[in-house]
This record gives sequence, C-alpha cells and structure tokens, in this order.
Amino acid sequence: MTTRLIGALIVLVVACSARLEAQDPRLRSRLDAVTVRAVDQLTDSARRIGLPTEPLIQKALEGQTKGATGDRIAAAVAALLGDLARARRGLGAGASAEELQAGVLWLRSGGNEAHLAQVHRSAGGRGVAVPVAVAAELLGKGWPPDEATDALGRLFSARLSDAGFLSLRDQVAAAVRDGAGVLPTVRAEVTRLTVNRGLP
Amino acid sequence: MRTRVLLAILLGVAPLAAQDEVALTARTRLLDRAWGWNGPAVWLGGQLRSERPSMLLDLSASGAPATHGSWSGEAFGAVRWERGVGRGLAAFVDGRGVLERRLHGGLDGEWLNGLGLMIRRGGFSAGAGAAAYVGAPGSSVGGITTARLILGRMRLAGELGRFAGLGGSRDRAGSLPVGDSLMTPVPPAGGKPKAFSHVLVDGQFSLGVLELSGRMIRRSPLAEVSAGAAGGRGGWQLGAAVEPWAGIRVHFSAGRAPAGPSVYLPFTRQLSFGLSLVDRGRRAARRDTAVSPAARVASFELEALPEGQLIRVRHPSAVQVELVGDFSAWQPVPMVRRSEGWEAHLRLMSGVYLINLRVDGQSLEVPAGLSTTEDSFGGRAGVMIVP
Repeated sequence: MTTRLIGALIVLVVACSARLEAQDPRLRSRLDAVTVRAVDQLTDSARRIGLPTEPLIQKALEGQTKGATGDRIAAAVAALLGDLARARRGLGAGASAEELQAGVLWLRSGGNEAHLAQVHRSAGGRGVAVPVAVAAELLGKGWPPDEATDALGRLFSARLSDAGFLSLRDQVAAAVRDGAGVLPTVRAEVTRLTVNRGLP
Repeated sequence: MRTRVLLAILLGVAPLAAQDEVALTARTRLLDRAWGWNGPAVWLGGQLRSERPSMLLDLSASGAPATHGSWSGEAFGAVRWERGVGRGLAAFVDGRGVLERRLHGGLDGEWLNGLGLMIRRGGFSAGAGAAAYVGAPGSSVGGITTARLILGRMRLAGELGRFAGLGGSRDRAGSLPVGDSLMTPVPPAGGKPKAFSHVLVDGQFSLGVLELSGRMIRRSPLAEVSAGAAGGRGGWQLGAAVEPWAGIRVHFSAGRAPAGPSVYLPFTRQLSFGLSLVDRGRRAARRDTAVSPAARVASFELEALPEGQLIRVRHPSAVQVELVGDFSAWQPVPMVRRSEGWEAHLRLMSGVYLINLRVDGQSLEVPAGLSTTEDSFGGRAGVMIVP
C-alpha cells in the first residue's frame, strides 16, 4: 500500500514538473498563477493544432506591460488564437508565423479569410508577410479589401519585392502628408507599379 | 505654406511638431517713429525657447537715430521632477544684448490641477543673477557708464483655462508649459487652448529697490487681450492681438513703457502696431493626428544598418523614452537622446512587430508615422515592418 502511494506521488510530481516545464518562464515571472494557467492552456491548444505559440505569449506579456487584468489578458490571448487559426485557414497550413501575424492584421483591418486565401493562391509560393502587412495597413486607411486583394495579385505578378511593397506604403504616406487622398494615391501607385512592368 | 518655408529657412530647423511654434514679428511705434522686429521666436515642444536678435531702430526726436537690440535664449528642463500633478523645474536663463547683459538662474515650481477640460495652474519662480547695462550710442541714455547690478527675481502666476481634447491629461503626463517672452505660459503640448486666462505678478529686486509689475492676459483662439502695470515708475500697457487668418497675428498696444528692451531705460508713451507670422507645425500635427491623437509629438523612423536597425523617434517634450514591443518581450528598451531625436539600436529579424513608446516611465504611446492596430487592452500598438 505504502509502495503504491509513493509511486502515485512520484507520478504526480513528475506530471506536475512536466506541466511546469511546459509553462513559459517569462509568463511565470510576470503573471499571476491563475493567468499563467489560462494562457498555458491556450498555448497548449495552439501547439496541438500546429499554430505558433510565441505570438500568444507575447500578447500575454503585452497585457502585463499595459497593466491589464488577468481575465483581460486571457481573453486577448484567446482572441488572438482564434484569429491566428482564421489566418491559417486563409493562408494555408504552410504559412509561417510571420505570415500568420500579418494575416491577423489583415483580419483585424477589415479583410477576411477568403481574401487571404486568394492572396495565398496568387502569391505562387512567395512569402506574403510583408505584402499582407502593408496591405493591412492600407486597409486601415480605407482601401477596400476586395480591391486590395486584386491589387496584391497584380503586384505579385509584377514581381514586386518586399522592399517595393514598403516603398509603396511610404509613397502613399508621403502623398497623404502632402494632402492627397489615400485611395487615389494607392490606386495610382498600384497602376504605376504594374503598368511600368508591362502588365495590364 | 510660404510662411512655413520662410520660417524654416530663417531658422534652419527641422520640420515642426504639433506643439512647436515659431513667430516672426515686425512692429512699429507710431508716436516716436521707432520700428523693429522680434524673433523668430521659437518654442520647441514647450521646452526650449530661443529668441533670435530683436532689433529696434529708434528715430525719436531726441536726436540721432539709436538702435537697441537683444538676444536671449532660455532652456528648461535640465532638472525636472514630477509627482502626481505637481511639478518643478530648474531653469537657466541667459540673455545677452547690446544694452543688457544678463545671466541668471532660478528655480520654478508649478502647481497644477487639471481635470477634464479645465486646468488650474499656479506657478512661482525665484532667481538671482547679475546684469550689466550699456547705454547705446546715440540713444537718450547714450554714454552712460555701464551699470552692473545684482538681481533678485520672483514671479507668481495663476492660470485658469479650458483646453481642447486631452490637453489637461496630456499636460500632466509629461509636457512642461513654460513662459514665452512675456512670461506668458504657452499651452501644454497637444492641448490647444480654447480660452485661457493668466495673471502674473513679477518682481525684480536690484539696487535695494523692489520693482513690482502685474499683468493680466485673456487669450482665446481668435484674440488676446492684455493689461499690465509696472509699479513705482508708472508704466502701463493695454494690448490686443487678433489672428484674422491662420498664421497671421496683428498686435496693437498703447501705454507707457521703457524706450527699449531694458526695463531700466526711461519710460515713454507708446502706441504700437505689429504683425506676426506664426507657424505651429500644422502639417506635422495633421499627419500625427491621423495616427494617434496621443502621439502628436512623436515621429518614427526605421533605418536599416549593416548590423541591425536604428529606431529614431522625435519626442522633444520627454525626459525619458523607451521602446516596448514583442521584440523585447514587452520589456523596456532605453532610447538615447540625440540631436535628431531619441534613438535605439535593435537587431531584429525581418518580420512584423508590435511596438509602443513608454514616455517618462508612464504613458504608453504609439509612435506617429506607424500604422496601428487595436491591442485588445483598450489601446493601440504600432505595427513595425522590418524588411
């Protein structure tokens, strides 16, 4: 009986140790135990379905830095987990963590999974983290998602590099600072970038 | 726009942030045919004031024309501390002029109580220093031997104002209102005053005599009315200023005041007219507001280096700026103040990062110039794309 009890205790201790090791030390040092457990369950879920856990941990740490309550931190992490899953449904199982994060920005700027799926198809295997992040930024300034999705496809066809996408963003920002509207500027830039490369 | 370009050329300064202000004033005294100009006077972030040479050509009936001039600059914030709504600063003032050479330092303290749109603020300052006066050739006091004075100075001020937007709370968060050339407090950074009343009692002690002066100002977005009196020598002044067009301010004043920039010159009757060109960094304000009203004073630059990245933000009113973001597990990364702004070197892989600025160890802001996203905690985070 005693031997069985000791054995059960050892199993329990080992299980608890393994559980503690699964928790990120950054979380343990900065969040209370209840919040750590909640976030840990969410990161476990992400791990099980093959989603990156680092964005979730960073969201929790962001909440701690910004003075959020444990409940709010857990809710924010859960919401991000949901958006990461949606982004992956759009961008495909092979999407990198950076692409998924850009996809989350896209979703939170008014786009949807179908748009991301179309972007993924038109990308032809190139990385889409920077293009999607830039486009998400412009969505936030009023660029319609459907139009942005089509434009991304044309810009991919024109082989616009990541630096080119960032340049596009900067050109739009500069024009807007000089009093131009976002939409006309974006459309003109997209046209310039695609027409100049011999595309319709 | 033309005004802005002209002033930028004159000043040789970087584009102005929202709370920066530049004024170039031409004025004439109608009774004694004196004319001159002030400025450009510059307020950067409410922290630094510089007045370029002020010149006055005096064609009064006393005889040969005389010129008066002065050059002064003030820097604030060398030492500052804050606790709650109270604040204090040690100020250093240096003024050198044709007629007056002055150096004095002082200690200013302010009491601030601002909630919502109302701000009540009281201030005091005390200082000591030395001044030397030289009569300019040809003036009514030309040839007078240089006088060297030991100065004592004190100031009491009270204000009551309504500020637009988040002026009150932002003021408490870190800006530092200071006085302009008339010791009139300028609005807190980010808070355009809708209406603004100011009462000032200023005293200067020298040669065993305490000279008291008082001044009242009522300022609104369109006009400013002032009345002041200098005890002992019968000085007084009534003034008004209107801004009929943005960037153009017209001044009128009448009274009895010193004939030149030094208060120790003989008093004369005056009727004055002036015109100011004012630029308050409107373009910068519009650009920044599009990102975040709370970050009007900041701007963000990301520069790729052979090893890593250089982050630069402009935040002139801050005494401490740190970066926080998912690149640092949301732990503060100190930034170093440089002439171009606050800088930090990072070594980041390409990707998309979320970023905020922690200003003066308290408020979290979004650097202007970055797009933003909701952070799920009731605020926003900037989105930084590293290629």
